[in-house]
Amino acid sequence: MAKYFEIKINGKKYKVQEGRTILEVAKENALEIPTLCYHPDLKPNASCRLCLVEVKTGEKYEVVTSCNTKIADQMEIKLDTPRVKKIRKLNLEMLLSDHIKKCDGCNWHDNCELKALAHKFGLKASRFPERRRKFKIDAKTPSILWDSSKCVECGNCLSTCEEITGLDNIASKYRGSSIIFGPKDGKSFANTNCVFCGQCILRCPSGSLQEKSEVERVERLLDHKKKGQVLVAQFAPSARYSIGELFGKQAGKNFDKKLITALRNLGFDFVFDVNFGADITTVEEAQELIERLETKRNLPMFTSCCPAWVRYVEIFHHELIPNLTTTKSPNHCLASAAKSYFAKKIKTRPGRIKIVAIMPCVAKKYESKLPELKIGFWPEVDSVLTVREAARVLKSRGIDLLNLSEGDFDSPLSEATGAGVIYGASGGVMESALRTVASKLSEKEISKLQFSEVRGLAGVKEASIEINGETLEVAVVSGLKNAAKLIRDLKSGIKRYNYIEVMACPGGCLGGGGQPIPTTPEIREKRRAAYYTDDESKPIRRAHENKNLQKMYAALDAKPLSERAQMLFHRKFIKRKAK
Amino acid sequence: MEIIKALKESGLTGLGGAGFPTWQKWQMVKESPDQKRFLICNLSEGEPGVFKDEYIINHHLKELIAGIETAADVIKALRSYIFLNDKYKKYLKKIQHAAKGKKIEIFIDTGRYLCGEETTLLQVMEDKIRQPRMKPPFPTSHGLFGYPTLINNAETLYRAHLVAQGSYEPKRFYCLSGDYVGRRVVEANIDAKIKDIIGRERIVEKIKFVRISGPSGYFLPPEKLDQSVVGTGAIQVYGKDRRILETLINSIIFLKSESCGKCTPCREGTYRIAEKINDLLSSASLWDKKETLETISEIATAAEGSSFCALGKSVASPVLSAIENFREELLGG
Repeated sequence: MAKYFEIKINGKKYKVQEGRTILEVAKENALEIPTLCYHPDLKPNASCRLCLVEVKTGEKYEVVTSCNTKIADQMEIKLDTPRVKKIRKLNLEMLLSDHIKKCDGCNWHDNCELKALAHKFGLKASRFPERRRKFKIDAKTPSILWDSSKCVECGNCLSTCEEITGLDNIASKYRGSSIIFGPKDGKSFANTNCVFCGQCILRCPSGSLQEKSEVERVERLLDHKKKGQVLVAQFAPSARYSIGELFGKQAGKNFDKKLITALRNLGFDFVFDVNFGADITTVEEAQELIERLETKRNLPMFTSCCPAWVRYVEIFHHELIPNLTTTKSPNHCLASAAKSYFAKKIKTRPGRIKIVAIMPCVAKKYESKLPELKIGFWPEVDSVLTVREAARVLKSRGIDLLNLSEGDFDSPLSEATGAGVIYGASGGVMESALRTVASKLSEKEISKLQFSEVRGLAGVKEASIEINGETLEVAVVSGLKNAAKLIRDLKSGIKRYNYIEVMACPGGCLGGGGQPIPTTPEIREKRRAAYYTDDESKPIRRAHENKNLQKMYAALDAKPLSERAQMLFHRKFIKRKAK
Repeated sequence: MEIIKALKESGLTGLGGAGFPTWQKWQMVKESPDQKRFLICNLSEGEPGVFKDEYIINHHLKELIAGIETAADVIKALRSYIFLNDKYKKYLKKIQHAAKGKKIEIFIDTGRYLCGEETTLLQVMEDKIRQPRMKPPFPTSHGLFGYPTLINNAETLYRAHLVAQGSYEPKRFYCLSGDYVGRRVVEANIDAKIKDIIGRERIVEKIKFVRISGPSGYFLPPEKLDQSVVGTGAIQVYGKDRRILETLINSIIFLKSESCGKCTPCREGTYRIAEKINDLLSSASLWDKKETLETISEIATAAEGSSFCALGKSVASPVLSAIENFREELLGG
């Protein structure tokens, strides 16, 4: 039984459940408390000292931070008292003078919380000069840009790397006013075991951590198109549901049709659907699973769509490399198909096709630059933009996503099934593969379509699935910390599985490091719900029943896992040294 | 149980600065359901003007070790640690010799001033980021590696030993230093007046101001020396030719360089106060000076109200006490 407390906020009585913080209670009751370093995914760091309220202790009122103060019975709370306002304003003034304002190209450009708070508190001229003289910038990795001059030292990146990723790539150096949060060696993420999941980017309130921008590269492609070049854009299952957020829409609305038009207006010749690539991945991966189940080799099989997870295995678990499915991620399957099947169809060389992918992910930037993922001399995917970057490009070119006509994907790499749609949610890859496996293995005409056991935003989901009289033990994990625990359990023999899906970001790609900021549990849930409604509205929901896919395989003269398919849709893994 | 009762009757409070009742702390650790408990003796004083830990090592080491053993026995500690400041490394052999055959480990670190905050001390021992932890939970229930831990200052444990022996008197060590008084430790009553601790009337006449309890403490003019000491027990005496502003800068620069950098008011605040005091020194117009002083006192008030830990809150006391008592001089330059 939950206990209820009676508390007073600004003299008004509220009845609230115990064990929650003042901030949570205030948010529920639509009372506003300004915050900066607070993020619902993390334990409160309570370092920015902006979410102040006054609480009665004894006879006097005392100033406390609301993000980490739990409510107690008969607590009397006052918000926005003159004292709180004064301290809060000064704290923000000091924070702002510690933050070098490089607003152009910043993640937060349009919804900068620091700016909004300054406006709200009526902060005009700062009494303090900017104090940062020495700072470091790290752009050595393909994914992450770290600029310590913008840092406000909240420590969220460190907590994220510890609590969500379970790695310790971020550390603090020095103390006092010279404290720096950044890569462990203080220089570059290239010298750490960073897997580029980008979760720290989502939780950095000052834009000190960002994706390494490829906007300029894409703009060069668009503005200086060479003769004979074919520009192709493709976007991920989860990008279409979140890009609207950056144009002021609520999370969970599908903008694929408008995004297609927007990309065409930008100057792309063709727009393809990564959902189609997801279908290719599903078909290949399902076939691989069936084969492995028959031969009982290299089980459990792990998914390998998530580049951050793959890098994690390549660095920390060399023994699990044979267990990863060799199928490429949907993005690369599609790119591979575009540069072979599609190139042949439009009679051009693969090198002339330039592919720009819009992804909810910063690790995809790293993946696209891997030497093992090349087609001939050319990279399969030429550039990867995060959803945030894509929106920035659209905005800078004056394209308003909301007021566009609807377009359609270009054939032949379009018309994806429902299986491709759900790839963006944790459990989606698993469910898609299971649909195909179930239908291929079962003798009956109608096989199972809904695997609701693997849905949801929980970090670890387990299920026993009956297919054709045999039970398949599966697990779905999101968040690398959970994955690390699962691997420990597997090794100690507590758990046994046949098939495991791992996504590095909480909730899967919908909570990816390239998604719009903010990304909170609430927003993730909204995005997630959208996938499954769209999946249900699709006429075909099994990947291998995709007509265009079958046509493509026929034209390539290939079958799933055949030699040609191996060449196009499968990859190698490399043992990397831990640093 | 007997000892805790005796501690309660003696009224012994923590002598590291915070002044929490010792018996209560012991009781809390003792009653925790977790069977794995730790004891940490904090020998890491790091403030200028505080040197009583050194004095205890030199003069009362045996009693201190006995005190640690008594406490470990009461709370049934799995292991006891002495957290030794790096600058007292020279006494390592001595302490090792005294602790021979006892379940006491010595942990040496450069933690310095920060480790006066007990949760930071725990972070240092666990090799984590050197910043204070959230309280609650307190170390008495979630201490070292999450186990209940009793953290006491060396002097507290020494006094606790005296309580157990039955020879306790309500006294404490005062560290006298500065002009005219020499650098020495004086043992006097807990509620002794500062004037009496300094001793001779002749010296008191020459005083311009005293700094109580180190850089994080407060300044007093000679006419206010009829009160007792709050905090770590350091008394630094400054003669007539000293300037308050210099000593204040000294305090602030110490606090600035020792701040852990976790929260805004302490990290940015100390930086900005130091900056503004320099402005105070360089500016010529009284109008500017008044404004600057206003800003300084505003930052100090914010630090007092909204800092994360007690050390951050204490940033205010040197600033505000200096402004209260020596406003004219600060404005005069």
